[in-house]
Amino acid sequence: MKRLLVVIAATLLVASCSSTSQDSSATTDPRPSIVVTYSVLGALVDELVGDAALVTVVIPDGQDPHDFEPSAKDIEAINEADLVVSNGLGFEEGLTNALESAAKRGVPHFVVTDHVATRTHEGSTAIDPHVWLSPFTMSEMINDLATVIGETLDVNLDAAADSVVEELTALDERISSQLDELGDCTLVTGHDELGYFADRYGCTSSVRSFQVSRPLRRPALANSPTSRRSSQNITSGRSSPDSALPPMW
Amino acid sequence: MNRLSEELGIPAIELSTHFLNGVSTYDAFMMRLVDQIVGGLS
Repeated sequence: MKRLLVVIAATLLVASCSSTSQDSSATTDPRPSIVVTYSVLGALVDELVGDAALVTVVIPDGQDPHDFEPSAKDIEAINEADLVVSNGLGFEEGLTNALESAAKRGVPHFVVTDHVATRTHEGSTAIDPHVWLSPFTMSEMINDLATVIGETLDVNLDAAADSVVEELTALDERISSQLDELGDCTLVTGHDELGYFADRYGCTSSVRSFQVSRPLRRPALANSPTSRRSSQNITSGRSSPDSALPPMW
Repeated sequence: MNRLSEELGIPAIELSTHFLNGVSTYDAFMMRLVDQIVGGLS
């Protein structure tokens, strides 16, 4: 019987970390500015645009986008962007007001989840925002994003878009190959973030309500559904300093 | 996490799913996640 406990890293201690985001208001870089909300999406956008624009990530690497609250400089960067790229579906909840305000100012805004096929959360009608955990899903929006960037910044990213889609397709195939060799793949999560991944790669994904706390609370563990799991599965929770938090979407 | 792992008697890993966590590309982000899942179940 082989089992594995997986805890999702929710938030690192960012106070001591250097942010990957750049303050676009302070830079002297003459290139157009594309502001992306979170780091995973930022890496993909950066790959697409190359040197055609300065890509700035608002939510620093190491910080959970679910929990992020923007600073005044972050809001300024969004308002001064030539284009904002976000995930959507409430994922960047703390940025909602800033993004709406920027839109009213006329800042162009590309929402990734408006350009991909989405899924609903298990047992819910709510749409799952965790699209970036499937390269195939992310590849669906690349051409639209390249078109919007091209029209906004007056650049041609057709070749770059083809290249990125090709790389995402290759990545998708590598992942499929690795998971095919694994055989049975059952993902039991405390935070329903692996749905796109599971759907794409033939895994079974289900959500169980449990939280990992620091320090751990024995009563919760005693009732944890993880003790009733079948063999060859993965259990995922979110590492959080607040054990009272419910499982989050 | 280690204590929970001991309580349940199963190995544990921690995944970064919502941020790059030190890598610089999307490819590296996804492959690290897949390697951790596959490694944990192998």
